[in-house]
Amino acid sequence: MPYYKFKHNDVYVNTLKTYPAVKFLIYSGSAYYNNASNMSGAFTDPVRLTDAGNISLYELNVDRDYVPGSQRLIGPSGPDGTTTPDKGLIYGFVTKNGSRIGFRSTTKAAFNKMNYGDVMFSNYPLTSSISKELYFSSTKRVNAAPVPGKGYVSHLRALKNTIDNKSYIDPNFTYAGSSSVRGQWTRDLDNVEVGLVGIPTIFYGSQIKPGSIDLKYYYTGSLIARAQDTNRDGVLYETYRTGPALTSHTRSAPIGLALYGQGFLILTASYNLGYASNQDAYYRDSADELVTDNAKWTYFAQPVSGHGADWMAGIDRTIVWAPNSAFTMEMSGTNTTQTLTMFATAPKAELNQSSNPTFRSYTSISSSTVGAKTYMESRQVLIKNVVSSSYNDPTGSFEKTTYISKVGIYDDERNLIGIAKLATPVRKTVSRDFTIKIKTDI
Amino acid sequence: MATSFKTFDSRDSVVTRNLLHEAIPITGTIVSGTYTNKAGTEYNIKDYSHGMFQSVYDYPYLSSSANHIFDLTMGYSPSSSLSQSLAADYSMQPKKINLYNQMAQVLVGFDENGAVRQFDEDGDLTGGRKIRECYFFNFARLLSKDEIKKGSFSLTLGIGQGYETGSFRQMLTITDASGSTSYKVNSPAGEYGILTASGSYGDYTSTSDRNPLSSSTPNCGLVYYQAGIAVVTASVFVSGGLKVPGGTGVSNKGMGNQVNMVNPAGLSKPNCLSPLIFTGSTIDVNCDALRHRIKNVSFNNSTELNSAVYFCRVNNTDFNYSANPTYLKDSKLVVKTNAQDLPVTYVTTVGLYSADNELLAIAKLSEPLKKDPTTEFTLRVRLDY
Repeated sequence: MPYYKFKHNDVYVNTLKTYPAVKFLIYSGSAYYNNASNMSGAFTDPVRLTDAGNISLYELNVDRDYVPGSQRLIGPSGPDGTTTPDKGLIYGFVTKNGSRIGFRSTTKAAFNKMNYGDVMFSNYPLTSSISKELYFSSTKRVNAAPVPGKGYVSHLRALKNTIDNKSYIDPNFTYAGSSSVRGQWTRDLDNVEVGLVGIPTIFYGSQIKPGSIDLKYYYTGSLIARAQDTNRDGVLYETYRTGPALTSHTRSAPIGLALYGQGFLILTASYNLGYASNQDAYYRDSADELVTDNAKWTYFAQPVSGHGADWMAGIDRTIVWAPNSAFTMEMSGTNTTQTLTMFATAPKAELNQSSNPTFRSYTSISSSTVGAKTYMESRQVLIKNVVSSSYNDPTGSFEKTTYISKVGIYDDERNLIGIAKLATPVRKTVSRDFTIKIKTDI
Repeated sequence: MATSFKTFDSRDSVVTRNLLHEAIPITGTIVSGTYTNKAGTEYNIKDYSHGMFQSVYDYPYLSSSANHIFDLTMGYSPSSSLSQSLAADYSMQPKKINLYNQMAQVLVGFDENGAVRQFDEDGDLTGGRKIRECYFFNFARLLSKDEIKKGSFSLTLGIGQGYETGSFRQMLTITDASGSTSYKVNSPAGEYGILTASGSYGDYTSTSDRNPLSSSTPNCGLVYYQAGIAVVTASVFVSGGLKVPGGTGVSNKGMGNQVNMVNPAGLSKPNCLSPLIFTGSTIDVNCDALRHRIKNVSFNNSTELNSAVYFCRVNNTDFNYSANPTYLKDSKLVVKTNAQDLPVTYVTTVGLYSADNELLAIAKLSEPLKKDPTTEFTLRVRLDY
């Protein structure tokens, strides 16, 4: 088999960038990802064991019910400690050994307490979902005087450097702004009401496509406000609203920021949206009572918030439902796929011989002679004439002809590492040359 | 951007391998009976026009939530007594033989004459009894992952004689109980274990039907761990087909020492799945019949986690200064109060570089580590792949 070495310009790698659409509908305590609905199964509801707004990694336990206290075993029973219970669900397990590999769900203390040889379990589904945190102006962002082991920093404050580092893009990217130039905020994110929406990276890939964010705020089914990144710089502006007119300063001010690389929306506009009657129960107070308020951008996606006003104090509030409000959040993700392209050339006057047995004419002459020191192909073996003619027989004038059906890709040591197959064999004659383009995703 | 580098020597890195497992239970309700409409259509079973196998899903396969869990097919050897008659009398005989040969050549290989070997009951290819008629369970890679964990496979079949009168009154539990210690390696498809059967009974109290086997555990198939394929002899459904080697089985199991599926004449009890269905019906019908007799399939899978562990040794004189712009203010170290204080840094990140000083990977500490000339430590960086 002849080998050809790729030349410098015969191989290149390029990147294919795709922007998959991502849409969340948030309503009544749930999020719905890309219009997926919660389906009930024969045994479970929902069938994926997680909400429609969540991504279930692996999606293994479909319509499977957990069987508590099951006496069944996976496989035959083994020696003590090696028997695996059948819980009805697929689950992972790993044995503790010197490599100290464990599951993230196993705490450090629990891991250290285990003996070597003990088994750790994990549960499926592993899920990911959007989140919402609501910070009032009085909510503590950070513990200023922490007791050792009791310190905390809010997720919002943790983004301070990230926000400030983008100030070269737009002066609105500042955690604590003091200038009023060009209408940007004179606000400090530590002291104003903020809604922080978190979008995990599994939903959008390497980053959210700049300018693709489209937020819509509905009240009893009617659109009352919309916000977009009209300048594609991460600063969100209101592009539609109903209700009384705003002052020119408020109208021109952004309603929030989008951190495209990190997947966060920081919503700060706390003026009323819609009309005075557009009220809903958006959060719970310190007594865990639902509080009714006008629609605001800071309440965007509030039904997926599990936290009330003082969540920093460690009080995990019941999810608010906001039954009159619905929200959609649309964006495009960014995925990159590297593609390797190779050009395999079949030159003229080459590749005109095949070792395929069908390349020869049928003959009774032995095709080779083998001796103690020799192996010699017979010179008498004829090449089959496959040149077509207008007649059934005889064939046309003989011409060396092969059919290229596949191209093998070899590494430096001539290990076959890939095969590219042509849809139909290509006829190769002495006078023809071909370049076959081979692409593969890497 | 790092400005000082420390080179690993041969003692600073080690490659380890760990096994991550998953427990895979597949109850009979998934395999049959749950996703069926009144007309009997099973929405989680995909039949193909070629009719050579059927695919089993864990949910109606038209749903994007469905996972393919295994393929089911069957076949028999050209040397089986079932293949001796005219092909015209038998349904899909060429395909059944082709399937057997295809599976056998991949899983058992060829003999010295280039002929396809048959599946062997005990894995000793030099002789002994062959499995000539069998069912094949091809588990999806999603479930079997790198391999089925040795010694964890279990298949429970209902082998009661009547489909309507209670196929689960008698049950056969097929396991590879000895697989973890005595698996075989003479297959081109990797390691495999011997499946053995043990009898049990359901709610049927008739003494004669209690245990379909004698007290021994005869061999009844093979499980190929890396390939994720279980081969189960069809004789599990033949009354007497699983007689214990040595011929000491109970009287109505008198099939001789055959794992072959042959028509058992003169038995006091008919077969639960007649050889007639094996030869006279299509592959899909045979697979349907088998699926409705599956009570449970379970196994553990294994995934290899390869890890490279780098021991990053920070000696007392190393890394006590930082190139971070925040380290200096007014040409003074911000972490020092007095000029006589020891230099202090906080280690937050470990960068792994190639020989050309190209940054390849970054390991972040969960919290910064204080470092000064009086301390030294070893940071253990593990890279899984």
